[in-house]
Amino acid sequence: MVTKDQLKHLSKLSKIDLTENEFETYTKQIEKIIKYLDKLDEVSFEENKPSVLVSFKKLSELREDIVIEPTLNIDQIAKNLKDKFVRGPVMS
Amino acid sequence: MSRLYTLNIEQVTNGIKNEEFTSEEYVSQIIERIIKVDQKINSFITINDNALVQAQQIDKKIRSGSTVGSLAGIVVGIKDNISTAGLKTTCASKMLSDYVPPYDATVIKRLKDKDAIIIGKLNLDEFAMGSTTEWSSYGLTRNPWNLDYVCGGSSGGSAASVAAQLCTASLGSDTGGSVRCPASFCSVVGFKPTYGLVSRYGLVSYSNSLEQIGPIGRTVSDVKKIMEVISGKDTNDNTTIDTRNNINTNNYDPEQKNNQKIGLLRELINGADESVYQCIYSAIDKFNKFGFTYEESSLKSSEYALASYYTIATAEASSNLARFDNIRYGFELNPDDYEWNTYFSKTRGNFGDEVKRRIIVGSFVLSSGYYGKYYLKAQRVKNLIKHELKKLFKEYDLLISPTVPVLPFKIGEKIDDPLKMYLIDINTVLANLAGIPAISIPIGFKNGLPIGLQIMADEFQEKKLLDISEVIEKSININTSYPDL
Repeated sequence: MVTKDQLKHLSKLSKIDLTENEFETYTKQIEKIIKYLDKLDEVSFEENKPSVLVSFKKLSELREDIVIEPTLNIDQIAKNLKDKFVRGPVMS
Repeated sequence: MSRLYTLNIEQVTNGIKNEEFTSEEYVSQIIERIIKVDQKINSFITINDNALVQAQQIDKKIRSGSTVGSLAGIVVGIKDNISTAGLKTTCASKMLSDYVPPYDATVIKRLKDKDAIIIGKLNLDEFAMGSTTEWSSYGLTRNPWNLDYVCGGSSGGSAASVAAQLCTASLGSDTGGSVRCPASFCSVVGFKPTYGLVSRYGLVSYSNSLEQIGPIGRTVSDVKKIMEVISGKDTNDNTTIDTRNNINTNNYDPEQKNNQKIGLLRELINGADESVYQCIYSAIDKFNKFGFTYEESSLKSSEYALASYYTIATAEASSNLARFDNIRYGFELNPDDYEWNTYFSKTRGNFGDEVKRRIIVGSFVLSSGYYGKYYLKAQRVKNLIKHELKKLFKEYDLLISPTVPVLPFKIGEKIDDPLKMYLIDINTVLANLAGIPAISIPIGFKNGLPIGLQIMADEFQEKKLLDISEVIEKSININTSYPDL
């Protein structure tokens, strides 16, 4: 069960403003999606262990950790610049 | 020469090298065609203004007798979530509407090194999240075979542009079927390589543990030629593998091409619509004559694949998309007047519906109290599927199924029901969860709408998979004329 309050909390955590309208439709849609994901409860696991391994690499195969000097000119790639700094909103 | 845009890779590279026509002539015809045709299907977001200059440089090289690369003069369209230096890369999102990457993705660098020409950037579902290319902030892409129908997704622009003959071939990215689904819906060939075969450096991440960049072409042979160039180890992507040792030719002798045992996945064919079901069986009848052994096989865990996939993909998406803050690039909103959190929440509200939903679902499945119930279980299902598929590949050389269980459907038909949309991916997500290679090849039409066959092989068995796909492609021999646009 996914409630509108839960969704409000999640939207705050993920820093996404939603309109009232979006809260209404998303709650219904996400409720259905989560219900589908609940299928995972039906699986019975025998021998396999959880793993999030994505690389086959051994530590010795990693590349050298060398600092590469940036060749980019920040003026050309970013906006909100002032005196070579990026301006952001105020932290309160 | 007229109608150069109909040529395949080999014809283009030979034609240019042998000076039957120039690279400039070829690119001019393609650009003319894009201008004429793309207003109907909307497959391009950006066109590369430098393409003609690059073509002239290739012509100059050829006239002066210098050697040129193996892809000299072909034009490749690139999904707009793959970084291209100096060429806007928007991910079809407002959040990156003005982003011009300062560097090339490894795949782009490799294509350019072989003298391929990047013709432009292609439409997609925002951040590659979707199955129809309806979720783009640049408008939807239409199916070239019938403009009222969806073209599949999320690499919809990549498939539609190849079918409409607006480029020689294209690159897409495949996280849960995003290359194969639109390839199937547009009657072209789409290939998702083994995880780790192609560098993801420069691909804007959505779900890193599942996605791979893959080529789309009008023939298997074209797809092979692109793969030869983009595959291989890259120090900038630590998951890539040295192909010299890993392109697996175990149990495969190219001389014995037809001596293959093929399994049709029962769960995947039984879930298909009647017209798709029939088309698959008539394709099997055709290629069976080539001496393959074929039988039905079963993958029990496939029932849980989609739930596992959407759990992992949304979880990774919620983490990956946290970086978009609209500060260094994005749309105009002066940060001066805002407090930190308010600014981010306000600007991030400009993600499209599907992206917002996935970020929230991902935050949900990762939140404390639910992590074990969803994310951890999804990872265990992923292992289970990998394990079961490994066993099947001891028995079968290749596994087949419909690429998508349904025919292309009307634009707007599923847009309000995310779960219905997710179910389109039910056959394709297996290959992403298991990290294995999978291809979609065209096998026929029903009411003028294309149907694709999915063929999967064990990891790093690309040689076998692509060779056999070529045999199957020839045996089915569907009408190779392309939509009249």
